[in-house]
Amino acid sequence: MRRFVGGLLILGIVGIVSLSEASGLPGDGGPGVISADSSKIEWVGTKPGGKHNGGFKTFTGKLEPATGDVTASKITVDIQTGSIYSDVGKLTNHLKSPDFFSTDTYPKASFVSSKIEKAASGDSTHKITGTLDLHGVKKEISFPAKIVETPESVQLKSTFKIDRQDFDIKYGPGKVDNAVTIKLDVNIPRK
Amino acid sequence: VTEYLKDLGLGFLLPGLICFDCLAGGARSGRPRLLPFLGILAMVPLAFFGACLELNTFAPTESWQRLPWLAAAACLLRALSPNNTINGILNTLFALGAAWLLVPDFQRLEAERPYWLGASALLLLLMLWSAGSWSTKLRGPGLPLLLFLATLAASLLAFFVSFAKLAQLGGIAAGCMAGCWLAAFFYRDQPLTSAIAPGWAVFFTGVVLGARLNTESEVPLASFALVVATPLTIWLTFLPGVRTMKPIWRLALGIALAAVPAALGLFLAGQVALANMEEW
Repeated sequence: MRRFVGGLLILGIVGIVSLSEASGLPGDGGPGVISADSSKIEWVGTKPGGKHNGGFKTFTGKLEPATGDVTASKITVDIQTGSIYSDVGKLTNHLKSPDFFSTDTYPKASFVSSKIEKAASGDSTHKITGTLDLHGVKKEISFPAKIVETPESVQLKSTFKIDRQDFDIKYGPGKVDNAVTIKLDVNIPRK
Repeated sequence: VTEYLKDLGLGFLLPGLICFDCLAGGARSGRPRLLPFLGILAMVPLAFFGACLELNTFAPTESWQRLPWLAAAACLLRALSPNNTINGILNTLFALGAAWLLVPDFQRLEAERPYWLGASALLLLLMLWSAGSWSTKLRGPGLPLLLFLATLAASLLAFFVSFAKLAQLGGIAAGCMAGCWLAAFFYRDQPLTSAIAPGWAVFFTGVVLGARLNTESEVPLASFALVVATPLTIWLTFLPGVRTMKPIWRLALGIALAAVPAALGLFLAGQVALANMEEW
């Protein structure tokens, strides 16, 4: 009888664990997927007397683990640089050329966070630090972000600037401003 | 305004002045063997001022950035060749190597790469041979003027395909050709163009190839073919009836003949560029 109860208990535990894994319920510790379907990575480039905006159409990433406090998680994003778009057709081709992104030579850009810490300032709630690999140059960057955590998802919004010259994108000094505004609107389901 | 003046100074005038100094110095020295080596020196501004204007880097990271060094290397081969046979063999080997270095290995071009390698090597060889022949047969400022116009056409083409760095690099080469034209104007009896002709051949071909292969522009292939044909029209000035013309008429006809493919090629490219005119 004792053996039978013990066996039933083990079967029960195994069953619960399997069910939890199969359903992907919050609390399973797996990565949350970042996709272009539910997120946006956009930019605003300026020049003396004007500006252009655009973004990237194709990118993937993950928040790992997706559960628990986001400060214990790591964000990874891979961007297909060839998916860049802008408000002007010819500009898009120019941005793909070796004058700017050299999308054939550097088809991918990536960001890997090393630290997500709570740091309330203005609208933002957190500060994210990590390595941005762009145009063949890896550089650590930090930016403020407003992160809203719910049991179902993590929402991240941020607007910050990077210096394009830091990433060896040096075309047109004086004609195109060096500071480029990056706008993130990322929605990560927790499963 | 400062930036535009800097572009004009470093991207055209100074390279022209250095090229003029090198070639005029070679002409004044009275030592014909020195001239090809001064030609190498005249090609150095391509790499140096290109790096100053942050167009290319001294240690190339992309295939097109190798162009200034390959241009100088072509001049070096010419300077080291004791005769035309050895120069021909060296040029053939050089064309094969240069094509390998200039045609990028992008995933986008994977299927076409073998064809581009073959076409680039043949085109480089044709230009090296043609420029070498012209520069030994034609003296005076006519030839550098035609090569200057062809370089301008290649630069404009690079601009129309939205590759401004290559277009500006072409501007430096055009500056060098303008310097050569000025030197040839003052020292008409010396084959000054021969000192930089191999460098010009590689650079001109490389700019057209780079503009085609490094961008995803919708400019038709015919535009590139027509711009490549621009300097090749110089061969027409060697036809029996034309060869015996007065030099000024021969030059005028040469310019008119070169202008036809250049204008047509740039017109086709310009139409694509103008269709989407607003940019930065």
